[in-house]
Amino acid sequence: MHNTLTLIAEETLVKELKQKETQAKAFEVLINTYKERLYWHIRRIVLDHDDADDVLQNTFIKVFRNIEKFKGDSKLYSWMYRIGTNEAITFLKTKSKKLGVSSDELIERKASTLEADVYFEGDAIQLKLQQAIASLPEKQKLVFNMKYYEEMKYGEIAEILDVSVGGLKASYHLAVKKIEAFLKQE
Amino acid sequence: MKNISKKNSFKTPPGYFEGLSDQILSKLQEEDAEGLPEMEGFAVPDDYFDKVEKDILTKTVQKEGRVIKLRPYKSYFYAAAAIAVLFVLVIGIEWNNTQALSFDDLAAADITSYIESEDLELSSSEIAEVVPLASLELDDFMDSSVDNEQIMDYLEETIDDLDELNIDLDEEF
Repeated sequence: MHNTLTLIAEETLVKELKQKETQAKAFEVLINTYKERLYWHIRRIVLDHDDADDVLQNTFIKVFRNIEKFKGDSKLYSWMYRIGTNEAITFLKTKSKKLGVSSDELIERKASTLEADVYFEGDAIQLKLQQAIASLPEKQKLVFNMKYYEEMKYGEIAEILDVSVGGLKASYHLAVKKIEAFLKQE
Repeated sequence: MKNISKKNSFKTPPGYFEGLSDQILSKLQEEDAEGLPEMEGFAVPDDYFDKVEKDILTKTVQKEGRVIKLRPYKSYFYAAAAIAVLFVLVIGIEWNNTQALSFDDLAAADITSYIESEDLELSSSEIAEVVPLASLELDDFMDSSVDNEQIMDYLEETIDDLDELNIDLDEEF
């Protein structure tokens, strides 16, 4: 992952986030450092901009309210990514429940209407790739996006998703095979 | 042939098999991703990332750090008065009310809306543990009602020997 804070800078930031006097400034630094990467991580899960915006804001609000509970067992960005991932998945579950469909159906519907989205500028191949990703099971979808687009290391993904590196490698391989098969259709 | 030893003369580099699976998977992944487009096509509104930062700060830091008015005793006075009024009201209402609130006091609509809005994810066995079978009717699970005649037709079609069921045809279902 690129441009993350160094370990020392991160520790200092966490301390500042926990102290009332320095909290506001530190939180601004935190948002500035991670807003774009977290946004794209969430956007790849929920697909449209408005939903990604909702989830991103909820993620930072949750980070702010729960910073006292962050004990430093994992890296700060892993913790934030975990919150962002959970928020995005819960958001999709709640939305799909209201619509009376499953989360997978909802995301496949969203992918099939991406063409009409004003904030999607992809060509026919990119559109088809998104539809292929949408057809994957949840875990494979997450692993593929984090490895392929976000270029994270397996160790980082394992820490965020709380799974083994071996399982992740297999998931990524399966995901790529399925995507290739999907793209070869028609 | 009998004189030739079956001992394997070939060797591998030290630690070759330990790292083999990782090497194969890494190679597969490199080959896998070839040919897939690198760009996604997603876009964001102009100045979105500046705006979202302000939005989040308004909802968190700025909300927490709002200005406290001078002469705080006034707010203590109002708070004390409000607590006193509430106390009198609650005592007044509950004085003769000895019945404690129970699950039965909840409206069915409230329970349904809670279950629908919350992410409960109860499995069928978990539901079965709390809902007694005796209290359930067939109509609870079906939109259209099924009359006895249709049930008998179904049983006749699907069961080889209907007499074995010992159904009293006069009995109400």
